[in-house]
This record gives sequence, structure tokens and C-alpha cells, in this order.
Amino acid sequence: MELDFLQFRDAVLYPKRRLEAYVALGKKVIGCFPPYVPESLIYASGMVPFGMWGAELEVAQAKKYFPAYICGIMQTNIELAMRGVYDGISAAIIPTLCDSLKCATQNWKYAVPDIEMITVNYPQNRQSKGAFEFLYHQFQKIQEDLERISGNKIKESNLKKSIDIYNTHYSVMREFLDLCSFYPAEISPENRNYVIKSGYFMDKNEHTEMVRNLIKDIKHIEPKRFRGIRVITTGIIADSPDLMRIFEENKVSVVMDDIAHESRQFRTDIPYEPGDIMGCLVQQFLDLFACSTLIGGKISREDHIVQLVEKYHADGVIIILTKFCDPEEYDYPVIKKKLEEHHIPMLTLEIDKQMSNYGQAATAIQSFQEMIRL
Amino acid sequence: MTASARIKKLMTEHYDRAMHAHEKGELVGWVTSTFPQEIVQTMDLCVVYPENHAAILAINGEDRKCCMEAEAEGFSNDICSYAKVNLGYIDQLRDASLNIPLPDYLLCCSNVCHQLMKWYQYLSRRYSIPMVLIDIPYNTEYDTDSVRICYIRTQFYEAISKPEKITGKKFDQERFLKVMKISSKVGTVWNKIADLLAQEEFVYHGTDLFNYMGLVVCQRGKETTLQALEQLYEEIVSKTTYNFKSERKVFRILYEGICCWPAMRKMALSFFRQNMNMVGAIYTNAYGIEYNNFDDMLRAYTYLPNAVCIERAVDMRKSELEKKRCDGILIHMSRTCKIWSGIMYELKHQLENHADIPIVMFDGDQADRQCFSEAQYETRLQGFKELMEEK
Repeated sequence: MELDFLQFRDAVLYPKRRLEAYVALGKKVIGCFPPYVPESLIYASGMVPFGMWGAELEVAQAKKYFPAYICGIMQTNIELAMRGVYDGISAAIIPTLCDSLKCATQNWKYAVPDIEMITVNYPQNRQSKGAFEFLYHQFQKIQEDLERISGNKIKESNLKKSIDIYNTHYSVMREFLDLCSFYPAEISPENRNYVIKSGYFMDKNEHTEMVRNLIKDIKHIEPKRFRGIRVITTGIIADSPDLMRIFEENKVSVVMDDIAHESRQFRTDIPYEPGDIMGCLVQQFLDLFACSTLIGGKISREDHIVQLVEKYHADGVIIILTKFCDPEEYDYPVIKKKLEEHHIPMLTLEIDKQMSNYGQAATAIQSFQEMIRL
Repeated sequence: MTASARIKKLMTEHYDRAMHAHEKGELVGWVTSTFPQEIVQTMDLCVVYPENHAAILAINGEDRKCCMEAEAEGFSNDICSYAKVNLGYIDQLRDASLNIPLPDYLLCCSNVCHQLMKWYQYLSRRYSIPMVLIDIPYNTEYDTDSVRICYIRTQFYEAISKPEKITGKKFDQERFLKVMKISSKVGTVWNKIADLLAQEEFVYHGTDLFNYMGLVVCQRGKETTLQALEQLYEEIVSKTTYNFKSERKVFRILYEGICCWPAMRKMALSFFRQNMNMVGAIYTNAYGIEYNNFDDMLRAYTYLPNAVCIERAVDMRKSELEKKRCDGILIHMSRTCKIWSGIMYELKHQLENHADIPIVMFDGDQADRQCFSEAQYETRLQGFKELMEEK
């Protein structure tokens, strides 16, 4: 039985069609910058959260706002908006979780004046007693904005339903990602990425159903023997089709990831407690861990990566370093040292949204897998 | 003793105390430049400010050596060069023109940038030492509301208890009130000194403020700082120290951006040669922190240059341009200060629309000289002068 990833692939390759289809149906769409945005609050307002994680393209117009050494996700997001690709979106939500994101909030106002910008000022001192109340107020302000834009009051029952939908989505995605580690021969890195990335451009309920059906199909297959290497990937984003194909050509299977664009979105549930629903969303943010954009957390990122290597019997780790991402750049020496201490083979690839040639990466990946196989 | 000599002496004593602290059984903290120093001075904590230290190493030409050491450790050349210099310094066994002891604890405030938190987080993990964080989130609104003040106030009280446990020193409320008074007075005098540059005639070289700012960064809440700055103010006003007069027109410059420390002396000299004076600088203005009460103090810390929205940032510049009657704006595009450089193009655009004066940019960096090109700088400065002359 051949697994069918076409629907996921189409959503990823043609997100603009999805956006236009939602708008044509009379649905309002809210753009969501990385890494974390209260999507379930958007969903509860009846609007569609739509991922904005940049694109692989040459920046031209956005150079008016950003020097070259600002993160490519910010640059390409503003570039896409200035080119009109995001026309139809009612607002963009941008969290201020790093310095480039902060600059993006300010530049967006002038670069894209026709699309409203809503910010999320997250607290970084998440252990402080004051963090909960501060974020609660931020989310309340965002709720007011979302209600104004949607024309709908966000009732508690809608928010509860939305939380259920999102927690279900997280659970199903975790199951899928887990399953990928048992089917390295059947689920290519590219298809794995299509399943994850398509979720950014779809109604979450719809996406959950599609992934559930895919999981059923996967479980009917007897996994074949895989003669390649098993890796954990870590970084902000690893969605380049060229990169995924290089992985596949070199028989490199991504058995689990610690990528902000991927599993970091699904690993922390919204802890539902009856009574204060908004508080549940706040608590979810306070519970996030092992992310370069966040200070603190129940476990450090480097320890988490080592645990993933052990749990998923990985042969090595590939660090996908997004160029000019300073939060990642501070974590890198720490991760490197930890992996060396544990004798875990490691490869670092520096990538950029404006890269057109992955030749160097291909050579490095080939050497890496050859080294591991020796 | 002149004020300048007094200030130098106070800074020497500041670093000496830190270097001998461990011998005397005293713990040393590393502090970010805009952490509420009122806590530090109230508890008489022995601290150093690595950003100030990195600036000094950069002035003394030791930045590249440290940066290369940090890069060898795996740090990208893309990260803040204050951090790079510091991270390289701790790796090369601390053999420099000015040395600081390793920290026993860290005091970090996020109102400058996100990178400071990441830098200190790394230090905390590397040395397994506590990091006390006061998070002042970036404010995308124009004004600071009470919700934000409440969050910061809660952290302030939490922050007091941690150094108490770590150092055994107590936070005394009465002393805190005194320190607040002194700190605000220091802010007032610092602003008065800067405002002297608004006068028509040449009063002093504005770049001297970069020399003196170390004192207001590191010892703002001390009586000795107040005395030194009051003396400096009197010396300038009475013109005992400064008696430079120029027959030619002196062009009045607003310096925008972080200081380019590796080139600071060159810049000062080239301003002098080109008959320019830096009459305004957002970076030095940041330490003119004045307030009337505790909440005012907390609010003041939310209005530092890199913690505010672009509209407020532009208004700060407009106010400075008007007060100092600037003939032009010289913008330093720092390669590794992204919180500042990331909005600089739009800031420049808005100021161009506001004031019909030349605005010129040059590339550099706060503490890594490889990002500064002297040839580019001199050419741009020459062109800048010609544009101002045409006006």
C-alpha cells in the first residue's frame, strides 16, 4: 500500500490557494509569526490561524527595512507581505520573543500598513509570580482585538472547544511524529515535513482528521528494513524541500526533531482546568521548555536533545542553524559540548531562506552519513 | 583633582574592589548595564558590568583577540560583540589590559535586548551560578501601563531576596530611599551636563560623554558619583578645563546608535578635524534616569532606547534635534546590535521626513573592529560635512 501525502503536499506548495479559499468562504484569516502565538484564541474567535514562517525567495523590497543580517524569516515575511502575497489576511500576530521579531513588529507597521499588526509581549521571567498576570492581560488585550476583527464574542464555551481541538491536534501530531521513527523507509523527510507544515495552512480540525487517516494507513504497513541513518534534527526551521531531498538521497531519516517549526509546537498541551479558561492558555506558555527563544524551562534544550537521541535510537544529530538567528547561536556551543560529552555524532548545517544552492550541505550530509556508517 | 581625574579614580577603584573581592571573601556579581542599579547600591554588592569592560577592551584594541577566542569556542561572529568579547575574555584566561574576576552570580535585565538574556543564560549554565532576571518586556505601546509596572514591581521584590540569599547582605529600605534620591540626582546632573551642549557656543567635546558614561553605568547610585559629576558640571560652566574656541562654524551632530568603541578615539579626532561636535547622543542620554518615586523609577527603566516602540524612539530623536539645534545626524549601523540596527532604516526615513538636515550612515560595531572600515567612515564623514556646508 502506498501512503498518500498529496493533500499535505498541495497545502504546502499552494498556501495562497488555501488563504484565498478561506476568504472566499467568508472566513477571516489571522497570520501567525513564529515561534508561538495563542492560536487557540484565534480559532475560538471563528477565524483561521495561518502560519507565517517565511519562504525561500530573494528579498528585494524588505531591504528598505532590514539590513542583510536580520533573520531570513522576518525578511521574507515582510517581503511576502509587501508583494501582496498575504493580501486577504485580516491581521498578523507577532510575538516579541527575540530582537529580530521586535524589529519586525515595528517595521511591519510601516512596510505593510494595510494589514493590522497585533503583538504578543510574552514575559521571559516565567518563574516570577508576576508573569502569569502579565501574560493574562496580554491575552485579554489580544482577545479584544480578535473580537473586534472577527465581529464575534469569544465565549468561554468556544475557547474550551478550541482548546480541546488544539490538544487533540497536538496529541495526533505527536503520534504521527512518533510513528515516523518506526517507518524510516516509508516516510521520507520531505513527506514528514509536508504533514507538519500543511497544518499551518489549514483548519486544525480538518488537519487532525487528515493526519488520523494517514496514521491508520501507516499502521497497516509492515515497516521495511531501513539501511540508512537515523537522526534527530534541531533548530528553528528545516522545511526546505531541497534539504529534505538531500536527506532522502543520502538515506538520512529524521526519526524525531527538536525544531521550533515542528515538534516544539506540539509537545506542550494546554492544561485545561475548569473555571479560568484564559488561564489555561497562559499556563501553556509558562510550561514551554527547551526552546532557544525562551529563558528557563523544566529541562534544558541540550538535555532534551540527548534524551531524544536515546529514546529514538538515533545515530546522530543534525543542527539546522538558521543564519542570523542569535537565540540559536547562543545555544549552539552548549549543544555541541553536550553532544561531544555523550559521544553523539553531530553535523551543523547553516541555512538561510535566501539560499538557492544546497551543494555544500549535500557534501556535508553525505560525509556525515558515511562517517556514521563506518 | 579635576573632575576627569576623579572619575577615572572612581572607575579604577570600582574595578580594583572587584579584583580583590574574592581574597576578602566577598562574592562578585556580573550585572547588565540597565539592571536597576538601585538594588546593587542599596545592598553594596560588589559587581562589574561586562558591557563596560568589553567597551574598554575594545578601546584598548583587545576586541579582536577576544572575539576570535569566542568564535573558536563555537560562538557565531553574528552575536553581540559585547558578548563575544566577554565570552572570549573568559576563555583566554583573563589576561587583558583590564581584568575582572569570574562571577559568583548574575543580575540581568532584559530592557536592552534579548541577546543579553541569552548571554547571561549561557554564563549561568557554564559556571552553574544563579541568574537573577528582571524582565522588562519590549513595549510596543507608546506608554507603559500599570499592568507592566505591576509585573516589573513583582520581579523587583523577588530580585531583592535572591542576592540577599546569595551574598548574605541585606536590602535596607531606608538606604534604598537614599540611593533612589542620589540616583535620580545623578540622572539630573548627567542631563544638565548633556544639555550644556545645547548652547550656541562651543562648550566641550560631546564625545567626552562617552568617556564619562562608564561612571553613570557602573556607579549611578553613589554619592561619590554625584560629587564627581557636579564638579564636572561646574568645571565646564566655569570653563576652567575647556577653553576651546573656534572661529569657524562648528557643525552640531546628533550621534545615533550605540557607540563604536573600537573607533571612538578616531571618531572624536575626526569630529575635531572636521569641525563637528557631537551635541546629542541617544546612547549617552539613556543614563540620564530621573524619577520622583518607586513606580516612577520602574517606569523610567521601561523607557530606555531599545525597549520602546519606534514612534516613541522617533519622538526622542525629534526632541533632541530641536533642543540641540542639530545640523545633521550621523548614524552608526552596528553589525551586531540588531535591536537597534533592525529599525534604523525606518527610523532614518521618519527623521528625514521630519527634519531637512543631512543624515549619513556608517558601518561599524560596538566592540568588534573588523566591522568598522576607517576608509568608509572618513569618506562618509567628509561627504556629511559637505552636505551640511551646502545647507
